[in-house]
Amino acid sequence: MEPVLQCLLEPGQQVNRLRFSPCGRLLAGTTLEGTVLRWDLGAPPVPDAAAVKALAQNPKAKVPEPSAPPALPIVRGHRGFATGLAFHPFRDLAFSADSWGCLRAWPCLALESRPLWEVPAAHDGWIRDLAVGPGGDWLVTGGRDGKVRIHDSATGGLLRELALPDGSEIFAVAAHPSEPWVVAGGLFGRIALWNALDGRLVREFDGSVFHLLHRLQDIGGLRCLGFADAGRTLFASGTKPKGGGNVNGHARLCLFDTASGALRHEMEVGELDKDIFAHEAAEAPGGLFLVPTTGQPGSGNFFGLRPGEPEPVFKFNKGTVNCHSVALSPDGLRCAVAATNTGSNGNGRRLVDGQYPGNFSPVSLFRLG
Amino acid sequence: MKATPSPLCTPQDHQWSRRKILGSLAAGAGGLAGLLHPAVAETLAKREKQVLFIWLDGGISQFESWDPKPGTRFGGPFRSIPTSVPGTHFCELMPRTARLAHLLTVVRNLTTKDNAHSSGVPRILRGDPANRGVKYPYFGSAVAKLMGAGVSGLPPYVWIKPGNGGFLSENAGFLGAKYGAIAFGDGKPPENFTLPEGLATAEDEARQLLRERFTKSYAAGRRAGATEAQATVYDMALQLMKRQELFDTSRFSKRDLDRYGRSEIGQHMLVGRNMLEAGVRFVQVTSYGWDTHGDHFNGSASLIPKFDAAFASIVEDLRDRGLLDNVLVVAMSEFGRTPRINGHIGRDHYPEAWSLAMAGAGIARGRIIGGTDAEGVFVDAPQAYDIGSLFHTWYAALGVDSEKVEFMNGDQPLPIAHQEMAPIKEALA
Amino acid sequence: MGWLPAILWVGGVLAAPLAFSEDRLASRIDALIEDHWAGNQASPPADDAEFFRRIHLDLSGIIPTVEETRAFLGDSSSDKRDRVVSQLLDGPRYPQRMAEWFHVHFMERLGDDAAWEVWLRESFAQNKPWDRMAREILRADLRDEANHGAAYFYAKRLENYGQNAIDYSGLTRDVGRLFLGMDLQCAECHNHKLIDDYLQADFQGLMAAFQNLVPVKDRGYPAVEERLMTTKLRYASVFTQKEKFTGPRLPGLEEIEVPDLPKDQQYLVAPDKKTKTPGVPRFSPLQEFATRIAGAPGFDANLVNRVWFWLMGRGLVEPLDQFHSGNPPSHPELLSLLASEFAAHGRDFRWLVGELTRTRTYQRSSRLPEGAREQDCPPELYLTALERRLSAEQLLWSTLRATGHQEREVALENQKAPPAEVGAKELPGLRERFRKALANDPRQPELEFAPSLKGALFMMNDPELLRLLDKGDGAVVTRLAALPDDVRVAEELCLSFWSRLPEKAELENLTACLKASSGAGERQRMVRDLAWGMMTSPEFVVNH
Repeated sequence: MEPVLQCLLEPGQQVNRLRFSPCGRLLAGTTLEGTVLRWDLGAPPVPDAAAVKALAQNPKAKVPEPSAPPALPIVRGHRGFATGLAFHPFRDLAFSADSWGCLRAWPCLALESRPLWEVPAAHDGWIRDLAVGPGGDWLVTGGRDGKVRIHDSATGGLLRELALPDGSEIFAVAAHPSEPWVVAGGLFGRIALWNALDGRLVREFDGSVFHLLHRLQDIGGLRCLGFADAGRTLFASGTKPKGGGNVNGHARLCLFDTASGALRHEMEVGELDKDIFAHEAAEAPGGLFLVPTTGQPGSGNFFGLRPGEPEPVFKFNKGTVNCHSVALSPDGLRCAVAATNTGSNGNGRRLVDGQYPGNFSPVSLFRLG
Repeated sequence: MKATPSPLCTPQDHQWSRRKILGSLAAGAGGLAGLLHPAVAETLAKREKQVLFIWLDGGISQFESWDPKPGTRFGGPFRSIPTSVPGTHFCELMPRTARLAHLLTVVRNLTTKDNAHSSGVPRILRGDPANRGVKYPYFGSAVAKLMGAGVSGLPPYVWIKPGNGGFLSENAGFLGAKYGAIAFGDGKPPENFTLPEGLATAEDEARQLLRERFTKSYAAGRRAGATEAQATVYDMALQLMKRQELFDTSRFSKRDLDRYGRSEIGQHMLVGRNMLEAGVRFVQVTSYGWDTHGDHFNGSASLIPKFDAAFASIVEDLRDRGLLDNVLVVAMSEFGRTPRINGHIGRDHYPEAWSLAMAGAGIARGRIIGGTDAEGVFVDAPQAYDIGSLFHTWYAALGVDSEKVEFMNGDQPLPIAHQEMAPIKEALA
Repeated sequence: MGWLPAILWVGGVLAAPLAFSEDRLASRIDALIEDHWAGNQASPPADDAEFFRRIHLDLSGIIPTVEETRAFLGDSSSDKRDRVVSQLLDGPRYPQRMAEWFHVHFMERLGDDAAWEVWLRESFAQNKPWDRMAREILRADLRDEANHGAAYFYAKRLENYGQNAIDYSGLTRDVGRLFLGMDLQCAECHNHKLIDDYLQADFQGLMAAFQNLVPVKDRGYPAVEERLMTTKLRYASVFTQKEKFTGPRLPGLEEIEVPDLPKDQQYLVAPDKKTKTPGVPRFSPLQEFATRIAGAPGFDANLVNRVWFWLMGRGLVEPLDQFHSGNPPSHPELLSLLASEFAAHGRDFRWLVGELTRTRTYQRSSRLPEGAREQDCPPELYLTALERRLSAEQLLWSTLRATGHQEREVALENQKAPPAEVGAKELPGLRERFRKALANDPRQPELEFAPSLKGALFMMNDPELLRLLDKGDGAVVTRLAALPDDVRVAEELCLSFWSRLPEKAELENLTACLKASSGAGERQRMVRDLAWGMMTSPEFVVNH
């Protein structure tokens, strides 16, 4: 069941969220620098630079098959962190949000992508997450301003505004795959499900495991919400916090019964204080959950978990240190994981060739067994 | 003997402040540490300047507070907002402080040395004087020594902190344990702070009278040191016990709680306000949990608004009560945080280019000093300041001439601040 | 090392000093002290009560009982002081007292350990020579079962402190300070900038022996493991960046070669990973240090200076860990004499303490000479006895005795188990309360009388402490309040807390207080207030 690494992409920036387009041709990722990176998976692969050089010197040289898909031009225009990313189910349209409150829709395959529309103040500040409804007519965003907003996907116009009963900051949102339902979870771990069409609160889920007040700090441990098993299961991932400042804790994946709200599984992911956050989770065919984690320097792994089984199906950590996102291809056969370069931590100002280096996210493309 | 007695210093002044200024007495009696000139301390004591020292332990990020770099590579998710000083922006997480920027001096060009907590905290708090083979006092202990307890009779160096309280002698370095901090853990009073059950106040007064008489008869014909020292701590204990209300958090008004915030730092800042109003010379309010190596931005989003509420409220209150001219306010950490965002979405320790804020007694208002380059990596100013310069600045703000006044460690005169540094003139009113 | 070798180390490890006077050391000490007086007026000898209290606190760690004081005051024989010194040195409390003194000065409140305390008490009970004690501490041999406790000196310092890694520099510094009187702290990274004698090579040479130590946990007693040392320690000055190497070396002595042993000969006993038994290296820097320490410059002078400080209230070299040519002793010839005589007498603690306490210098009054002002009596001239700090332990035992709780002391005296256990069983929490309130924080040497707010609040308000006055069998207040004779009550109070009889005016004041209180309840309260006032006055809490 262990995923097989196909190739490694090395963008120069840190990736927040990775997603495949519904057609499977495009892989895109939002970054901490307000950009969206794209790779064209349908185009012929790019030979690597060393191979080109070797071939130039000796046409008969044995070089490995080129494997990395070419990158498309970077989409700019977001500010702060580019955060949420989702695609329209059948139109060539991507939606992305940022931490300054801006929400945009843009044609994703175009080389020079100009936004179809843009809502500069869709929220007051940080939009933490977004998701697209089942028919693609609307999308939902959630922000640090405590608002959950439903937007018209054609115009960006605001259709409806919701909030958690405690009014807290929103950390994650998701849309049901078939029903017109949205869920949102907040700082204190409250998770609510509404009908997006009439704004009616349908159900609440208890995600309080994801919150801790430590000293001054309210630690919001929820990172991701999503539906699995054709919508019968709501999953929530993040951390059960243990302490603030340098936040530590133990990565968690919680599975709820969508219909009743009951908690079915609360799964510890990896090791306490090493695997601290499960930033995302995705359901692969066969009920396998793909869960990337981050933790202390050098920690963090890519896990495959099956609910109810005590041991992970796989734990992958070659080149997948401190992973922030996992994306599953539409055919369910491939996945992409955004990790962090090694040596990303360190106090003080260590210069490399006189320059102060930033970090970046190696992206691993896997074939799933 | 650089200092000469001030003409303001009458014999009566010597009289009343004699007991208050424990140090010079103990020094005269053979204690290890003393002032070069006791008259200096007595002159200083009369000015009744006070200090509020807010310590954000672990390192608040300059990016998410005083020196935002929105929209740049390392800028993080937050926006910046304009402040009451035209052209100056703070991070959006500090809206109330931004409205008070015209009362503050912000130093944005700090470059200090240690990037580890264990060495950084003491180095910063001791002002990194030149290495003299002795352990220097923390700023609070130094002020307690140089300026004394003042007329309040309360301990000169009070530390309000989360967790355990106690008597922290290590802070005093070579000045000796009596200049250590008395720490009120979680803002609560120390152990044995109330009379034991069954002992009435009248009887306490009676027994104290006997103690004083016995002390006096022992003192006759002996060196003064032991007796004076013993009497001083008892006087201080009695003064403090009379002030139980200082710790009574139930007295805080709803309005104050709303303004300061119902957070740890909000509550502790209110206790700190009580202490300042009661006349404590040096009040340190510490908040722990700022070492955001992981999940830094969500952490900042929770932490910094709580600091903002507490800090803005105390500055407003000091201003409204006319105390801002008397109280030096400093808010700082042991270092800032890295521009680079690590794999745990955190920022690590960064002494190379960071910021602090100060206000109040002797400090310029509405001044922004220095700056950093576009990405906040390097100081972008003709000069970068180390902690020694800040100590000089604070002493100057308190009216202590840090180039003339010296500590005495036995026979060894020691500068009170780094000898190769000087006050930041722009920061002074 | 400037003057040090020339003056101080003449005795060194050599057998006989160059000149051995017929006079007792005590009189030669007095002569050397009084030589410096140059016409200054000195205080008279301490009166019997002052002396008696002082010698008890110093040699037994507790004030005398009322009966002992009465008997001593009534004794008219001329050699009674000499006899009491001998009695106390041979007395049952001497080993305990010395263990407490040594513990406070050499562990500096870093922690407590039962095996260490047992080792200290047994060492002082046997009157082990100082060089032997030093050897056992510095060797810290896991195989030496009789001396396991000695390893605590290292073991405690090898514990992590907060979030910091093992502080090898701190351990190195402490060995230099406490055994040789040299605080080399600022010579770790470069030669000391202000003290010419303190070289980086000295620090690094010491460190070379300690860098391979690791704590051994879960043994039930303090233990350290010495790992293999196969190469010299590499270091560089932060100024010159020049790389240097050193083997283990005690300051002032030759560097010890690090032998190049074949791999299969590096261990005397190979480590056993299965049983987690540390190996025994063939080349043991600890062993080398232990063998050589008594010959290191400053070894004897440091110890006699510390004992002198303890008994006289001021070091001949001050600060105690600043032995160097820029900081000469106040009485160089005296320090030299003490060091060489100590070495010549087999580094015998009992002998040294006996000599020092038999001096006029020790037995002087702590009251200033008639008509003299404080500044007329600089402390370094020893014209007047200097007041000294009482440790938390001395105050604990003395408080128990003064308040009439002898049975608890007896429990201590008779017990075989280490005091910590007695504390837990017989004195629930009291010892800890005293330490918490009256001892310094870790790493803060307890050198001067430094009363604290914490201590004052403890004495004023601690319910457990205050209970001692009037609760339980024999409690002093209850016992005395029942006596009808006011004079007797006043005398007993004075004897109990101050180990002396009241002076005339005092007696009048005390009896007046007692007379003014009518009724049993009021009298009880008055006696309690008087007792408390006495207990909190400097006369009780200071060794004067």
